[in-house]
Amino acid sequence: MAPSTYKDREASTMEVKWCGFDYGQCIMEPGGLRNPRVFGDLYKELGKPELIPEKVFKYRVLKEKYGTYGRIKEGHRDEIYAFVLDNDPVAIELFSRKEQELLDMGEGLEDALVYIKSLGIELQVVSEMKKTLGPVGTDIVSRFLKARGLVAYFKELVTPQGKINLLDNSVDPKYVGHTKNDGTLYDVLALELAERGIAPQEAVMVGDKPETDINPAHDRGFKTIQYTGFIDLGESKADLRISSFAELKNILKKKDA
Amino acid sequence: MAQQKILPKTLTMTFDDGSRAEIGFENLPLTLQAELLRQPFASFKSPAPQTEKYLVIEWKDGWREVFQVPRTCTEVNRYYVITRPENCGRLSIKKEDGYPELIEIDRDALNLRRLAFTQTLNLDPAKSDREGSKTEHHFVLEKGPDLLMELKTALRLALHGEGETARTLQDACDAAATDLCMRLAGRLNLRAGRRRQDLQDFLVYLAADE
Repeated sequence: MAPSTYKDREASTMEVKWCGFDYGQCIMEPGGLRNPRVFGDLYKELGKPELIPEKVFKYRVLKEKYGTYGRIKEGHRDEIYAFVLDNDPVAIELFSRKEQELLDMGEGLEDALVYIKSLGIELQVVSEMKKTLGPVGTDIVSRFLKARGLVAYFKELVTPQGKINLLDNSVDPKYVGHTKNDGTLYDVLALELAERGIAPQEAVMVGDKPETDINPAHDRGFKTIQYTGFIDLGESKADLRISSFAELKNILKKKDA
Repeated sequence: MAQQKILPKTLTMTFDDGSRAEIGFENLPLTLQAELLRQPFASFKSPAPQTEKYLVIEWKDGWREVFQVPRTCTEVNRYYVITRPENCGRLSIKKEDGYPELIEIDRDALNLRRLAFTQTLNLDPAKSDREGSKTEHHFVLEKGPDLLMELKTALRLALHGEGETARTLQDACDAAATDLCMRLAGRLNLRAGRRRQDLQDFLVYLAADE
């Protein structure tokens, strides 16, 4: 399959040593996270199916308060617990579990990861991790990667909360306070890759959001691929746009030392 | 100053055997409160209609609708439309009066494996018919191994695992029964679909032969 959109036809293949993937709406697709399903399963499991319509309705009211479900989860999760779940600890735990269960993996992702790993290209998850709660290592991103067996490909998770080793949950603090949005996380990443002999132009960042995954990485010399398979967030500085992870198998090659 | 609205305090139901059930109105789910309050028997006229707040919507074809909204509403926030294809399962069961019982399945409707009623039926996709933007996926129903028998066996094991007997299940009442049923149901991976009492009644039904 050919890459779906080229900004530069000369760049239809990329020779790299390192490949970073964004998490939300890229590795993880939230399409299966539907309110009737989440609250339906949750309150049936609690033995209170009569409460389902009210809970779905209240969650939708919260969305109108904050604009998007993403914003609720980023900064107002406590209100999900209080306003929707009545601070019931069992419901709160089940809500987190259902969220995990109903998240999907990007289509064709694992096949692409098998290919990239077979080339000897280093893989890391680079996440802004805004929507996570809980101790590092047991956060939503780590739990998803572990539950889906993706630690076979990603040993580390680079975040503004530190670089998390997914195998032993240890945290390297050098990234703490640096974000993708302001670009400083990519500055630290470039320095760390340089220690392993990898220049930014020998590294590629794959993600969906122009303002965090693509533009700041591109400005620092990283190659960039905008993934539009789940959501197309519009124009960016990306070198390539792909709508399926399967396209990576035609694009990425290992750059020799 | 706006006059206070009259608010319901309790809901009382009288059954045909003379028994009664009563609940504080505010203890009902909000969606049910709203549903009850829009029924004509519970819709009292406002003590001061001129102080209420109303929303009027007009469609392009001239159709208009009015909604009374809470007095605490201040200004319009936004309007948007979500368009998405939904999978809604419709399971119909023949009834003696000729009007089938319709059970709507909104949980992962394309992935039902089997159902048990008078017999156990396996479901397999048969054909999909598209009509414009709507697609109907039809399933063939074929007799399969007895699910109820499986559940009876599983319940027997679950009771054993809980150190309880079928008699305990049948005799338990109220909170104890609920607690036991929830534990047994967990072992059977079984939940009430729309009414929690269905689960308890079903477990007692399953245990009846024990």
